[in-house]
Order: sequence, then C-alpha cells, then structure tokens
Amino acid sequence: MKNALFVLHNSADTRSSEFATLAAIATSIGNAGYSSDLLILDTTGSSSVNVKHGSAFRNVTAVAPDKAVGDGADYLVHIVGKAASAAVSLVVGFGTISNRNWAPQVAASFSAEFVTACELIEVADNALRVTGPVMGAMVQKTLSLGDRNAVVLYSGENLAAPEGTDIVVEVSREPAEQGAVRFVASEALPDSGGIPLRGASKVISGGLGIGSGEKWRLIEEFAAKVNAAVGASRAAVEMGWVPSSRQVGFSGQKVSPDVYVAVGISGAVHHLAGIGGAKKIVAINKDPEASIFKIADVGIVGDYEQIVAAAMRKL
Amino acid sequence: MDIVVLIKKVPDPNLPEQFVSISDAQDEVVLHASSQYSINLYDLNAVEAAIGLKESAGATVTVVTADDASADQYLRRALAMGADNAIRVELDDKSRRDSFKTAQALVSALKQKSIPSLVIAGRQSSDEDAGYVPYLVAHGLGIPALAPIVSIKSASERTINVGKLADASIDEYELTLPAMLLVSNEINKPRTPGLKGVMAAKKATIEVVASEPGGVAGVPSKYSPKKGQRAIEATKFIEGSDEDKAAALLAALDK
Ligand SMILES: Cc1cc2nc3c(=O)[nH]c(=O)nc-3n(C[C@H](O)[C@H](O)[C@H](O)COP(=O)(O)OP(=O)(O)OC[C@H]3O[C@@H](n4cnc5c(N)ncnc54)[C@H](O)[C@@H]3O)c2cc1C
Ligand SMILES: Nc1ncnc2c1ncn2[C@@H]1O[C@H](COP(=O)(O)O)[C@@H](O)[C@H]1O
Repeated sequence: MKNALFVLHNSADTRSSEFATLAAIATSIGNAGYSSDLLILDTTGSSSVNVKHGSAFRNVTAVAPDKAVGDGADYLVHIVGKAASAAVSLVVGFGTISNRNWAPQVAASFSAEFVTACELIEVADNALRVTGPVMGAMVQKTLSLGDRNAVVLYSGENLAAPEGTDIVVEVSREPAEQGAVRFVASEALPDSGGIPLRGASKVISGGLGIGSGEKWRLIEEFAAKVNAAVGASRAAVEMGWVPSSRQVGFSGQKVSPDVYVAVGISGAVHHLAGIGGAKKIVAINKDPEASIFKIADVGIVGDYEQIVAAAMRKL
Repeated sequence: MDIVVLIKKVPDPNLPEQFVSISDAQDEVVLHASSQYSINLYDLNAVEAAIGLKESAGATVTVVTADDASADQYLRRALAMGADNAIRVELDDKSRRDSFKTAQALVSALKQKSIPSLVIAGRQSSDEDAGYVPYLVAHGLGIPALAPIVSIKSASERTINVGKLADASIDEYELTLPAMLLVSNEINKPRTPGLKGVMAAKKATIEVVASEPGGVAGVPSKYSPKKGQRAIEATKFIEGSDEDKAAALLAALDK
C-alpha cells in the first residue's frame, strides 16, 4: 500500500474538468496500490470548497494562507513538504507555472523523480509508468517508477470523471511561514485584453509572418470580430507585438479550442506541442511547404493581409 | 556579490527532426553525426543577468558547467560576454544525462569553494526539458530557489528582489541570499560578445574539477518517438480568389 498526494489550486478559474482529471488519475493508480489524498490550496476566499468527484479520494483537505502569498508557489513548498513527509511516495499536480516551482523543490527534498510535463500516467505490472515529452516534444521519455518516489506534474488530456460523488470541505487557515523567500506584491501580467486563451473555444494566433506591431492590430481586430481569443507564436512574442501571456506552445500555453487559426506561423515542433488538442486547425501561410499544413484540416495558401482583410469586409 | 552561473551544452534546439532518432534498445536518443550543439538558450539569459548585476552592483561572475572538454567553447563564450572565471566539472556523458548525478557533481564542486551568494541557472534545458538540476543543486547547497524569473528589480549584499512569472501575474519576491534563481527568456536580451572579449576568452584558463558522481541515480529512461502528430485525414486546401479563401476561413469559424 502506497500513499499519493494530489495538489490542486482552487481559484475562480478552476474548471470542473480539473477536478475530474485528478479524480480519474487517483482512481486509476488505485489499481497499483496507491491510496490518494487531495490537498487544495484555496484562493477564492470562501470558507468551504465543493470538491467535484471528491469521493475518489481517501481524504480531502483545503487550506488557505493567512496572508497574500502570490501564486502560492513558495507557500506550497512548505505545506506540501509537510504533508508529503508522512510516507507519501507520489505527489501529483497540474503542469502550471506555479506548480513548476514548488514541485521540483519537494521532489529534491525526497530525492524523488520529477516529471515536469507528464502526459500519461499508466499502471503496468502493479507499478506506475509516467511519460512526458523531451527534446522540445520531438521525443517521449518514459520512466518506470517501481519503488521510486516521484513528483509528477500532469499536462495531458482531460480525463473523464470516475463514478463518485461531490463532497464539501471546510477551508482551514495555514499560516505562511516566514522563510528566505518573501512575497512582496503581485502585478497583473501585461495582457492585450479580449477573450482569455485558457478555455477559449476559438483562437486566432499570429506568428512572425504578421510582419510588424502595426499589422498585429489586424489579428486583434479580426479575433474580436469573430469572438476568438488572440494567441501567438513565441517569435511574435519576442518581437514585442503581443504579451507572453498569449504565447501558445511548448513553453507557452496548451490550448484545445474547437477552431484554431494559425496565421503566418510556420509550424515548428515547439508551437505544435501546444495545439494538439484543437478540434479543427486552419492555417494561413504564403509558403505552401510550411510544416503547419501537415497538421491543418484547412489550408489557405496566400498573403494573410489580403485574406483577413477580405474576411473583415464580409463580417 | 559572488555569482555562479550554471550553463549546459545542448543539441541545437532547431535540429531538424530527421536528425533525431532512438536507439534500438530505446535507452538513448541518438543524434545524427552532423548535429550542431549550442549553449542552452536560457543559460545565455542567465549569463546576461549575472553580468548585468556585475555592472550595476559589482560582482564576480563564475560560469560553471558539468561536462567534458567539448563544452569549453561555451564557457569561453560566457567569458567573452564578461564573466570573470570558468570552471568545468568533469562529467561523463552518461552521468550528464542524469539530473541527480549532474547535480551531485555540481554541488560537490561548488562546496569545495565558498558557497556563492547567488546562483543563476536557466529555467529548463532544451534537451531534457526538466527544470530539475537547479533545484537539486539548491537543495544540495541548502539554499532556496525560485522560478521562472523574468526581472531583477534590485540587489544588495544580503537580499535580491525579483519578478517571478505566475499564471496570471508577475509576482515580486525578496530572497535572502544565498539563493538560486532560474531565469526565463523574458528577463533580458543576451549581448553578443565583442572581438576584444572573444580574444581574451580564447586565452583564459578554464579550471577543471574532477567529480565522483556517487549517491542517488535516476531510474532508467525509455525513449519513444513523439506521439503521432495530430491525426488529420487530409488537409483541405482552399483554391480560388482571396474572397473565396476569406469565405472558407469564416465558414470554419462558423461565421
Ligand atoms: C526551448 C524552446 C521552446 C520554444 N517554445 C515555443 C513555444 O512555446 N511556442 C512557439 O510558438 N515557439 C516556441 N519556440 C520557438 C519555435 O521553435 C519557433 O522558432 C517559432 O515557433 C517560430 O515562430 P513563427 O512560426 O511565428 O515564425 P517563423 O518560423 O519565422 O514563421 C513565419 C511564417 O510566416 C509565413 N509568412 C510570412 N509572411 C506571410 C504573409 N504575408 N502571409 C502569410 N504567411 C506569411 C512564412 O511563410 C513562415 O512560415 C521554442 C523554441 C525553443 C528552442
Ligand atoms: N551539466 C550541467 N552543467 C551545468 N549546469 C547545468 C547542467 N545541466 C543543467 N544545468 C543547469 O540547469 C538548468 C536546467 O536544466 P534541466 O534541469 O536539465 O532542465 C540549465 O538551464 C542549466 O542552467
């Protein structure tokens, strides 16, 4: 019998699919002899949390800090470290930026394996096998954990909830200890506004092919007109045309909209790593050989300026 | 301030996919013989951040890599950018692919000197994509770590104030030194070394430290080709005028 600890941030943005996915993982690793607890860091300010599919866990606790802690990363180093010290052999969270700070620190303190972007957690021969991308997602690496402790950040697909019921847990205040890392203040991430990328059902993304910051406005205007979120390749972000909160890909956000439109984006592996979950991909590129067409459902070869301008006139 | 920067040699991140294959035993990623290597791009941001601090607040900058002599050219590049000293911790290829062994080698080498006030690393390496070695090093040195750092606001002998990227904000933290920072590309634009720097770096001595990576090792990895690309039956190319193409675009968007 082994113990696993799941960690979830509960904020106003937390989706029910996140609860479902963790519950599904907890249920499946039960077949490898793991009993799972769930620790929730609540930042909604309410006194209790409705934990969807909470019955999949042995124990669910919710904590909130007694003062501002930013994205909670350093706070969780202490909270998870404490919770995991009691014979926990697996810690699971999502591959968010804040988790990528506490998770490797907790892993280091247990000499545990750490998987930054795990896309598959499987039970094989009564033990766990975890798989994630390396080499900019050109290759997949699989670790058979055996008896080794591990801290795994999951960034695979949403999983269907197991059977079970919701439960309500009270939020308890856990003081933030004053360590060597002191939170000072938060400032909003620069954002161009409009529909947020996360969870968007339509995304219009631009790349280096857009050509200039001036012309980038056409992407913004078109996206607003068709009720889509604006996305970008890293090259467009690096040009300063759009803030990094809009970057899609391996080192940006993963999106899974119904429609993803890639405008002036060549289709580098690092970009494609962020759009595998899109239901339909439309690519506009003047180069008929661009790699983006290899994964596009609809290919439009041509100068985006003419095509998008024509589309704007029709709206 | 006494700053150590951790740098790593990696395969060129823009290597064509055809150059990357997997050994028959699935235990190794094999690169085509003509593959190029480079310094991990985030590590150039780390070097730039350290030199920036040296220029603004005064510091000694030592670049460190755990590798064989093939990595000396990347240490020299950091020297040419303005670093003061370079150390190579001798480490064989197999150990270098193990985060635990790499970190042990780095920790034992750093402990032979006095613990630096600040260690700066990249947020992740473009081959392992792990973002783990710096945390293992920080743990080994008993210092706190924070990532991903996108700005340095101020620094004194005892503390440093930094901006850390969060999911929807940039959070400012004050760290009591010594500490480890893992930097992201937003933090700066690495300078191109001048000719004078390059010439001086050619002649500079690189200190070589032996290592005996013992202790914990990672579990063996098994590699496989990336998951089949997104399955599409066939790309439907839209022919015709820009008007036709615009109509197809809008149709795909349900407009
Ligand atoms: C470790 C690492 C992580 C990375 N992470 C990411 C990531 O998260 N996201 C990401 O996107 N990238 C990432 N990258 C960068 C990635 O490798 C590519 O360099 C980047 O995606 C290229 O952006 P692009 O397609 O906009 O530019 P380019 O590759 O330059 O492509 C521009 C395209 O625009 C087309 N074009 C030009 N003019 C027009 C026109 N008028 N009309 C139509 N088409 C036109 C061109 O034909 C070309 O195909 C990462 C790289 C590394 C090393
Ligand atoms: N062999 C090494 N020598 C020195 N620094 C390293 C080495 N491997 C990793 N690092 C540092 O750790 C960072 C993250 O690497 P990784 O944990 O492999 O993703 C890199 O950007 C480097 O700063």
